[in-house]
Amino acid sequence: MTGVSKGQAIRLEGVSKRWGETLTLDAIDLEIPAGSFTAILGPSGCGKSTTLRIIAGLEAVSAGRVFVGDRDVTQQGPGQRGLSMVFQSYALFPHLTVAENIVFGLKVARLPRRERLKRLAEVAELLELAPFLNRKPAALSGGQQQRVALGRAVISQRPVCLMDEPLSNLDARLRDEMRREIRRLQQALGFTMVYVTHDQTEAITMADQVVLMNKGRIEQVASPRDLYLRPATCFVAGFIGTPPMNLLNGAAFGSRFGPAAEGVRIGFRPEALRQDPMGWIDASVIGSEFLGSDTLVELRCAGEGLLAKLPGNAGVAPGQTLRFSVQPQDIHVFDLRTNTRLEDASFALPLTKVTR
Amino acid sequence: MLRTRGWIEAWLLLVPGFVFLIAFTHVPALVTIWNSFFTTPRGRRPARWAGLENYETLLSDPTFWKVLKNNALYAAGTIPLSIGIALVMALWVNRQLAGRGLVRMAYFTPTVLPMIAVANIWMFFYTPGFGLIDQIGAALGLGQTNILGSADTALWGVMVVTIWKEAGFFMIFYLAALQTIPPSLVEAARIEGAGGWTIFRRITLPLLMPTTLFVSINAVVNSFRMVDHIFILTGGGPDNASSLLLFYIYEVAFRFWDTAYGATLTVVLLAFLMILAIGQFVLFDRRVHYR
Repeated sequence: MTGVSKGQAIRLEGVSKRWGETLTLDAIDLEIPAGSFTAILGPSGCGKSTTLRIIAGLEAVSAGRVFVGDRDVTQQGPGQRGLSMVFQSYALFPHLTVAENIVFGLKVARLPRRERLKRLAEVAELLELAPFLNRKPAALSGGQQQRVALGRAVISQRPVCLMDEPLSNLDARLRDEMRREIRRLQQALGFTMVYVTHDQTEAITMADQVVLMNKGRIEQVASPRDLYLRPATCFVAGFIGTPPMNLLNGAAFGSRFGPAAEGVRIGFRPEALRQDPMGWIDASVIGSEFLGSDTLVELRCAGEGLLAKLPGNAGVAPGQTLRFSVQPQDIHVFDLRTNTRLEDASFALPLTKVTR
Repeated sequence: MLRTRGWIEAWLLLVPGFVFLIAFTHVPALVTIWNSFFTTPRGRRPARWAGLENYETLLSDPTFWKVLKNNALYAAGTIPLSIGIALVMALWVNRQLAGRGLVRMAYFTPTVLPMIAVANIWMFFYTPGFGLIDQIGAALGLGQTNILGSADTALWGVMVVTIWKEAGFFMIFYLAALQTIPPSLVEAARIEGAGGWTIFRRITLPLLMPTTLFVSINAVVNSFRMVDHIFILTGGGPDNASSLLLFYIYEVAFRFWDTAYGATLTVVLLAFLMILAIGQFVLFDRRVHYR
């Protein structure tokens, strides 16, 4: 596609959103680099859609400022911010044909007819929409409607594209296909993408940068890799990964830490547990699920639940007692009082020592 | 055997409805057409076959042409205006507005009132000398008016009342239709840089077309059917200046007791209504998007 637009950075400064008494967004600061693919991830009601709608200008901020590029757009309408958007429901105009839907924005901008048709042809080719241009949206399948919505978003060549859970109405197979297609489109056209989703697979596979939100606050902004390897808070650790990280009360291992164990949580991923006759984790089996390549074992240790992912068909029986060890680099320690990650490796060390 | 029984059962279930529909709608309509080819029976002289005589009388009846012209003017004046006002009111009460429920109710009130009551209310406005219009006029130093009493303005006075009554009714349909338009469509259009007027013209109005078709057919039928207020306001006068086709039919059939000629006029009215309704479907068909 010609005339590739350079992406623009987005910056939120102390953005809050209040609906009457409820605070949906609590003084959010966020940098989204130009040309990056940023996913905003979080459970429902965490404020991720509100954040997107505030960037779009569909929602006014209660406090704070929004920048697109170097411009302060806080007071500007959605049409002046230089962004396009794909809605969860696609929001295609039902009375217009596919072609009319796609060029709607160009027509509003009074682009000459020849240019409109030229760009339409390019977009139709890019998204394989050429056979459907004269149909109404109702005559298309969900996946095709999704492509039309994408076409309408990219044809205007705006520097920023926002997407609000665009794949949630598609079946699993189509979702995988569209995920790759959206990523390819973003890389080919070079715009800045802000992508809201509640599906961590989508966020982790597509994004350069993931913003994980919870209860109107940002928990962590990091690459998918860092999010998995070095979760910044207890919430992140418990949200990312299927199944998520085991988080145990520090006091469960009290005797090993002494007083330092108060108010901390010890985390390790189910896949980090290794069966080891010398191991320091002593757990009894509650049940197991055979997943094919590995087995998920539900355990009980020091009064708390624990999950372990063991390779192959581990063949464990309920009631059996197993011993596990975890490598020191796989242990995460979180301070509950400050809601932060403790980087002091020595703190985790006593755990790895074999006590007999 | 089983199929025959199901068939009989279906007809039995349909019969009660059919009896009433046939007895009170279809038979009278056919009898009316039949009667229009006979003379009016009077006293000891029974009706006799008249062929097209009644229709010849109709073509040379100046009052018929006058009420037809009045009705055309009445339709042309009330239909677009009441629909336009209904749309504006619906758009207005569809937004976030303090006291929205109260405004909606106020706009809808005329619909709830019987036409006779509406006409009486408007008599208080129109009455020469001490009606509301003249009182306001007097306060502003204007002279006395007699809107319903003069041939030039009587029809206009009647039209205003009709618009006032109809707009609120049509507003309800528009309001319901507006609420079925997903907000994300308007948001998508805003993102694409469309302003309020563009969104209205290119998104809202086309999506309201099925409602507009429905409302306009109703409005056309009503413009031939709603004459109650004429009885109160003008009685069709002065000199038939505010008489409409149906009002004239009433006068001919039940005041002058020329039932055959009344039947003839009725046939013409029904023919008009049918042509107009079909014409509207054809006209709108290509522009209406049904979801």
